[in-house]
Amino acid sequence: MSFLNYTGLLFLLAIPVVVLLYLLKLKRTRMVIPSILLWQKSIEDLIANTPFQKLRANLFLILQILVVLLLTLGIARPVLLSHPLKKRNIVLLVDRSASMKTIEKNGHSRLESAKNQALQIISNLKKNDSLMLIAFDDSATVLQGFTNDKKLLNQRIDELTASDKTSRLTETLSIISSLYNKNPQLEVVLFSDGRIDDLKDFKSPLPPINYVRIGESDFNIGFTEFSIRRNFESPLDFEIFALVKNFSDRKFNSVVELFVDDVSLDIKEVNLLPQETAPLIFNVSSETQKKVRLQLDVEDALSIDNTLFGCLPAFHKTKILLITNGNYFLQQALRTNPQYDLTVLKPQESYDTALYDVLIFDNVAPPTSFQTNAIYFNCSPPDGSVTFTGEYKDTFIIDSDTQHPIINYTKLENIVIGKCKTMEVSDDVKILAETDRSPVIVLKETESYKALVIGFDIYDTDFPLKASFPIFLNNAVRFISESYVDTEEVILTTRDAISVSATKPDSTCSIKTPNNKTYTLDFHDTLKTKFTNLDSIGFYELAFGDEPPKYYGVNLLSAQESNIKPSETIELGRQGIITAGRIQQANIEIWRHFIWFALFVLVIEWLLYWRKMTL
Amino acid sequence: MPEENDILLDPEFIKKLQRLQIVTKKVFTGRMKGDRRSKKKGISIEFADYRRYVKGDDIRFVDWNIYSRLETLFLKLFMEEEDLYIYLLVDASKSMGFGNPSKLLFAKRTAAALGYIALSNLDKVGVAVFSSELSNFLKPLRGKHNTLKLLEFLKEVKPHGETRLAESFKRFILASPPRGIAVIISDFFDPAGFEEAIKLLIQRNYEIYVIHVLCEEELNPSFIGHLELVDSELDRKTYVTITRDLIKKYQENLNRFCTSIRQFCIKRNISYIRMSNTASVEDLVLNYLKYRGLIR
Repeated sequence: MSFLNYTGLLFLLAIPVVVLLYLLKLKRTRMVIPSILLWQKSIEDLIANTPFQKLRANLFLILQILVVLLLTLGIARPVLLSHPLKKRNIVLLVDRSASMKTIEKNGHSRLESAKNQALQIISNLKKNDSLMLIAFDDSATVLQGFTNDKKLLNQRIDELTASDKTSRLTETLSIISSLYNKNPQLEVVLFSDGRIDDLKDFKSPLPPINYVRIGESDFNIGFTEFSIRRNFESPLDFEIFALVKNFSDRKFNSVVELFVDDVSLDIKEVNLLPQETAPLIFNVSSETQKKVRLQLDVEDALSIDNTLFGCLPAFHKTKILLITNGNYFLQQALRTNPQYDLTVLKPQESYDTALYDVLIFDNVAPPTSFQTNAIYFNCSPPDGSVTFTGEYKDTFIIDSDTQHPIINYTKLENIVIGKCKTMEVSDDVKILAETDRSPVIVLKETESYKALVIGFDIYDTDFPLKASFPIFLNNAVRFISESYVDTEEVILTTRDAISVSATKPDSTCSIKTPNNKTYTLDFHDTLKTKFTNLDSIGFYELAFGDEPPKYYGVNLLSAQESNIKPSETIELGRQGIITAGRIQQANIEIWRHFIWFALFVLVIEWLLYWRKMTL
Repeated sequence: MPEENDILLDPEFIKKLQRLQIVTKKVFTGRMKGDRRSKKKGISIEFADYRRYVKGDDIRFVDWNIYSRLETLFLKLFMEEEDLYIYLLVDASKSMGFGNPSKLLFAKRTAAALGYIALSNLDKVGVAVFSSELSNFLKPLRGKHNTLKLLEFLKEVKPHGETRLAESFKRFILASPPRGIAVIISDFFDPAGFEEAIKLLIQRNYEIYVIHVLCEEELNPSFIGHLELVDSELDRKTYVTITRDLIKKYQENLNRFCTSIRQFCIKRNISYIRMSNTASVEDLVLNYLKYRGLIR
């Protein structure tokens, strides 16, 4: 037997107090009687004739001391070491992802349950044990390195809060794996609801993991998709799209309400069968920036996926300067888009680059000192990153980066190219498409400008006749002018980051989070940075000095987290399927037995006292 | 403890007492002629015996008829009737002040009743009040007219001092003639014991009656718990937790104590009566003492 709380033994100091109180307690009633002769004799007789009389004389004191002793032992938390921990170094992994915010039927969140169980393990730590505390969502945070300091560990647990992020264990498991290499006696306890999807791929050796499943509830309805698109033909109109899914096993009927700048604009009914998904589309118009919120009216176990946050960006026409000797297709393609403000100049005409978002050079060599966002058709940029070394005929594109925003939604492989430039590109140039002989569409990105180079004249191809042409051109203009992020950028998830670009050096940007926490970003050596602390869902307000703020809506949008039904098993790399178990009790606490015994002794004492006082 | 202001004898009881008289099994020598026969042969009408004449005898008591028959001088002896001395030894120690009515009041009423009977029958009544010593002594009175004096004396008796039977009885013996009836009314709570004291009286040839008075609190203690018991007479106290077992043991010791006095008395032909303070004095006098032969 050992004790978990040795300081509890200080309660033994209560024994002298009990003795003192016992002595003080016997403040006897003074009674004058005719003679004490017979009483004295009777007392002497009683003592002489009764066995253990001396013991009986102080029986109550002895019982009281026994009670104090038992209570002290109880407070000291005695433990039976019949099942000692096999490993003394324990790592507690606590899932703090969004699904751990689920409120269970007992009114407590899953994270609170996990914290309570973690505290139980901490309280069971023996003298030589050490424990490490790691909290994880989509990244790992070592809350506390290996220590035996229970107070410190308890404090860390108390400070632990759930985030609005998804669960990813890869980073955490990497830490565990490296620890395991150094210490094969490692024991890992994972507190989670099992909604983790990146476990299968982890192949590094790991110690045995004791998976403690947290939670029971599965009643949740939440948004899983969200987007806001500006109408191509009518730029002031937006289409708001959302997917809502019923993750529970019961039918669900409710409404989704649209708020624009906190004003309710529309409401739609949602009727969902178990596990069913329903799309929702709202149409709104706005010329200025507005905050959009979709609210699902439901009281389910997880609330953070019941609201969506987004923005309607202010309408801003992209100013394009086309420098050409005449290109009907380009001009027509650019003019069809009402979001563009097109200016066409001859090569010999002068212009101010600061007035335009993007310049398009069509078969015209730009000035040598030229550095701005530009698209080059059949000409190379002046920075020398792309050079034309020759020309070849009759070719076609054999490969393209369809994931890139510029190539996205296009089909370039069916373009016939009659005459094409042979390109040589520097290492910092990204090839977006290439023929069998050389790169044909390349992109150079620097902090100060972007340059897209197309190595052919569109008149030498059938590209203008393809449906992909206006799409490509539109993609290119939006990407190069950085307006492609018009709506997509302002709807983010907690897994994303906000790309922040400064227009001038030495500027400062402040970001206010939904929790009213303010971060300041300083731009000295760079004009671009990423803000990654998207821990909470809601609106993030970004502002440069006195400029009007720009809003970003950050959401959960994770079917994995919204599907809150706890997983009985997790599949973990080499270890295969791990079934949820209970916490392996290192020590069997027996303090209750001592407390019960103390109460029993108290009852005995009371009965004896009652019997003694009742004649 | 304050003494109750109570009358010692009520008129009804007095009427009953008037018909009674104290009798003695012994024959004592008195100084005055009374109703009692005396061992002392003297002038009387009742013949007692003969004895040879010796020089110096009063020749008026020579039986001349016998001299004429036997030519020897014999002297006629007559029984001389003398008065009876009754001494009432009343314990007035502090311990007698307990009980309701107090043991002392019970003792005083008993003494008053016996005294009245004696005075009514021309016996001589003396009252010795004692505690640590003979604190007060009423010299023997005779005649009914002294009843008030007797009662006044008794009324003034207050509980005081500790019980020292032997010391007190020594003083009593010195102050009184060695004959008569001695009625001891006491609780006998003397740390030195009672034996020596009673033996003193036996040696002085008193006809002794012992009335052992105990109060209800002593006979059936009703207090329990943790107590500091203080002796009313001695400067002593004891800390005790009164339990059922202790009370049982106390009662055993009390009975043993009373039995020891009774056995002592029986062996010496002394009448012993144990009384409770709540008992009736009338009952004691008219029944118990009558039964024991002190009253007729």
